[in-house]
Amino acid sequence: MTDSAGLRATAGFRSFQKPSRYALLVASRAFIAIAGGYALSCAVAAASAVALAATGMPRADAAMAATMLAFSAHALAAMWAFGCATVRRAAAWVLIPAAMLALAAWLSGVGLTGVAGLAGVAGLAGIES
Amino acid sequence: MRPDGRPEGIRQSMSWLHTWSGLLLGWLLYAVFFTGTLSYFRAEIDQWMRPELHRSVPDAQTLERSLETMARLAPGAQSWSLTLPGARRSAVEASWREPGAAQGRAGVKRAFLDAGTGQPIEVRETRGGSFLYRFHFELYAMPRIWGRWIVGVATMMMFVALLSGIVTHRKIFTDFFTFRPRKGQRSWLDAHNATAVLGLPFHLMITFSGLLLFMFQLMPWGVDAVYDGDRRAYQTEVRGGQVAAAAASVPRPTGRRSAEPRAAETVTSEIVPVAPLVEAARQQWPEYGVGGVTVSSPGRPEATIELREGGGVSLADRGRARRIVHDGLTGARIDGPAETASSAVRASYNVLTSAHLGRFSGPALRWLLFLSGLMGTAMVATGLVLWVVKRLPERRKLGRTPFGHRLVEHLNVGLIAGLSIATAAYFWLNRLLPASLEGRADWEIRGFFIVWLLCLIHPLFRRPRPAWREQFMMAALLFAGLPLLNPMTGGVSLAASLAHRQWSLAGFDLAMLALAALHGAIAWWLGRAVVAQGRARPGSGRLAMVHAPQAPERMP
Repeated sequence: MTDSAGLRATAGFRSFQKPSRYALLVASRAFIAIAGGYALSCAVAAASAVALAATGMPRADAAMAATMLAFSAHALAAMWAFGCATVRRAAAWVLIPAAMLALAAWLSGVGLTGVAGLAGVAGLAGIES
Repeated sequence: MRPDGRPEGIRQSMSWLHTWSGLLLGWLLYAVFFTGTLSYFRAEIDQWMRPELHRSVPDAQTLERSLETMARLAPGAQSWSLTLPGARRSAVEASWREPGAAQGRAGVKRAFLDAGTGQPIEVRETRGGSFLYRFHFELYAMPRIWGRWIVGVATMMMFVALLSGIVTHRKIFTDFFTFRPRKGQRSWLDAHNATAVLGLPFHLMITFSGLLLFMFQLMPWGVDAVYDGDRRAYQTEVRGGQVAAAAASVPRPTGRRSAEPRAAETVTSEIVPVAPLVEAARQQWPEYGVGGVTVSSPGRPEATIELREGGGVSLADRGRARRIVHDGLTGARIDGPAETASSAVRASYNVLTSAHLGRFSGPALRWLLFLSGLMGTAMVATGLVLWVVKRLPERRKLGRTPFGHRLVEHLNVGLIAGLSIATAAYFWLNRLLPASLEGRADWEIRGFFIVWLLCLIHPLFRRPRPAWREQFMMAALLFAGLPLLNPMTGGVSLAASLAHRQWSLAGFDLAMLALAALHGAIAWWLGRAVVAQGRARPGSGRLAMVHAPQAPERMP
């Protein structure tokens, strides 16, 4: 917990010592939840639609299922952004998969997607260690 | 999300997220839930707000008479579409398109026909229930696209609040059976939990399907990725057989007309009598009967008559009405293309969105959806009140009321109780504004917002609890007055509508009485709390609703 180490509160959120620090913490997590979550969900929508269509699902169904998945992904990303222990971790777990999936959807090639996926996993492993 | 940054469990952080995601757009969500719930009875509200239609009584000849009127009103129209009277409407709703009319809704002309005489009825200008319906997903007085984005964002917040609320809430099933009245904060929490858990499947359905209904605007990327941005192609594929089933695109047997040339190309041709076709359809659809008729190219040799069933059969099929198309001159049945079954994905989409729209529903399901919607409305309201109640100990400790607490308390009164008053006022204005008033429909809506604004100003001059009580009292009086106002301003009285089994009209009046009772009960309960104040310690128990003893009680 490096983001807010050293802060000590007595009671309630009005009485913490460095409000600007706390506000910054909330704002950065909110940004990850809202903007990062939306970016992730867009990437999920595009990548999973392409992937599902590639498995032979009719493309209307693929697009629709991908959209349902995308809305759920946004909600989960928002929860993740506030549930994670540190802001850095939250950002990594939302933004790296978003970038990865966006890249995969853009490339739409299996081999390159694998490379992007491995790079992403390596990045997350780096953050976690 | 502890302010001191110490580690905390997932339940604590989700509780934080639930609190703040719920509060931030809570009032907007309340308004969306409230007006959306009323929209399940949009047809009934529309009808009540046009009292000119109340005395229209259908009989066996209604359809023939209406078609005769249409032949007189719009002989050259591209098509006539009639919605027949049924359980939810008493008059015939006719719409048609003149040749060369503008595309889309703008080119459609509409009229109400008396079911008993077939004559057009002159109705007052009003947006009726459509205003409440549109408001619940587009708001008002702003470009539609903005309103939809704002409501879409609020819907996502609602979804997050629901999911984080479930995580927070560990004893989800025991708490459903727990209610501890007169325990202040505990009671509010129990009420919030009970309304949330009891209606949880509905809340999840309505929120998620709300997002899906906006998918083209909020999340088009899935469609764009596989269709290369061609959204029209997607829509055509999703509708599948549905587009083809519409009368306009039914493939007509070609060559028949040319083989049998008619001099009638220039002469108006009479369409076949519809009564036998309707009778045949009624035998095929014993449950709902015929709900609507569309005549395409009336008076011309290529005329078709399409009959629609009065209700949908399968949710997975979007609750879509079945159709039968006949040749307009011979009465012969024209077979549309075979219906394709929905895939699992599309069926789930259809079930979710049709349930949201109440597309299929008969009275029982419609009432169930309505009551679930009320439960959602109560869930949002109790959540907003709980935010204030939970912070009362902090206020007492501080010896003053922080501005944020006062703001939330104030907005709660004006936006929650005030919306009831504004809605009742909208119905009153519908009857009180003169029928000849210029821009009458707009004034009804302006009146709604002016009254809502007054309800926001009122708590500036009152302490919170009296403000709550007075507003609920006002709402109760206004709702209770509507069934009395109705027969005095051209409508059919409750006694008469009950006697003639006009359930849609009687239902509106009865629902208003029920709302009056509900608001009255809350006002009475708040009044008892004031009386009890002398005996109980201030701020304890149920007094705690909006009470802050040492705080300055007025807004600056």
